[in-house]
Amino acid sequence: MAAVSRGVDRVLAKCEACIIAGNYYEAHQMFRTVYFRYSGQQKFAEAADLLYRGALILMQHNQHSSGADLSLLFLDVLNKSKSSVTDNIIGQISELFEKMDPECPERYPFLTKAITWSSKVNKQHKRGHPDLHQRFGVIFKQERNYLQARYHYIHSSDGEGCAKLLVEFHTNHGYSSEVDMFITQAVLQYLCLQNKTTASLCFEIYTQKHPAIDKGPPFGMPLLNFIWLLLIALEGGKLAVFTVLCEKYQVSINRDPNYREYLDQIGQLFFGVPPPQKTPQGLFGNLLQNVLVDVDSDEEESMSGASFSHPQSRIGASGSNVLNNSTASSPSSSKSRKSESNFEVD
Amino acid sequence: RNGNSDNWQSVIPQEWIPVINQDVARQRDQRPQPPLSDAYLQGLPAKRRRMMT
Repeated sequence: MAAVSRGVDRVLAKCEACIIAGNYYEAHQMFRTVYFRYSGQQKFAEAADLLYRGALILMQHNQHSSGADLSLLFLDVLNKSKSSVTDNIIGQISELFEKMDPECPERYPFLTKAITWSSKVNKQHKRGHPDLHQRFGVIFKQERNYLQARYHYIHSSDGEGCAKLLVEFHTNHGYSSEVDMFITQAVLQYLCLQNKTTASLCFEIYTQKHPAIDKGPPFGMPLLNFIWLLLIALEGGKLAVFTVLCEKYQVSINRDPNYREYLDQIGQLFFGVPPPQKTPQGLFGNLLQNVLVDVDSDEEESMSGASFSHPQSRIGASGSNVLNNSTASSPSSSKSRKSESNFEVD
Repeated sequence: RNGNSDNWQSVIPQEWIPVINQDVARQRDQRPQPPLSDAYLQGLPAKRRRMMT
């Protein structure tokens, strides 16, 4: 390893001299040339080290697009070498990301690429490594980009960080009538991502810290009690309990039509509710499905402006319905409905 | 039709019953949900967001 860094050190010294002399273009090209040489020789550790340090030096000298270019190459190396996820690399990625100009066009591709890398080398995190998401969450929060921060916190295991973010997000940008909904939305999404522990912690901290929520549980707001009891019910996993809760709190659940769908998914994941049948049941179910398909299927996610279209962010959902009259079995999915019914927790 | 309503209490932990009963009453008086903020709606997946607005 010492030999590794000695080689890299030499190159860096040369490039740095170049940069100090103001020859940024030359320095940038030199980094690229050496990188291609290393990478051709399969010297991935050297290549990654060089690119990481090179990108930082360039950005320190306000050469943002050159720095961003090397940052992207850095991720290419990680991808090519199938480097496993380590704290060290996560630290390097988040450092590069933090120093990148938030406006530069490479920043979002960098983020996507980083998450893709972390999901590929680590199959159990197919939506990206939670620690990496956590770092992105922190950085976006510092930049007051709450929306992006929220997305990444939901994919992290940092329930406390997420709760604090949500309190800040809600008090700055939400309506007072939504104080219980901000946390409900987050908890249900965590649960759809099968992250029960983080969901519970997030709920606990949010309800403690939010100035507009009185001490509990039990709380003065029914929706909060619903979530509190739901989180307990997950432990026992009894479908009957889940069904009672959904029934008794229907009015609160209906405040956001999406809760129902999240709860369907949660029913399947935690309470053994069978997934929806493949064949449409009855005329009404069929009609309803067609309506939903129409509304749902136009122009995929092109409108998602805020870059919420990471492919990793999708999770399969479906329309079984513990919540719709418990009697009628699910309005179930026609084939086309099925492909459209994936929703992203983002 | 109400056969269910006695039943539910036997299914859940007993200490939940007063909480739930109180919430059922509260929900009866609950006002309709006012329109949701952009901040809240942006927490939804893109497609869903459009359905709501």
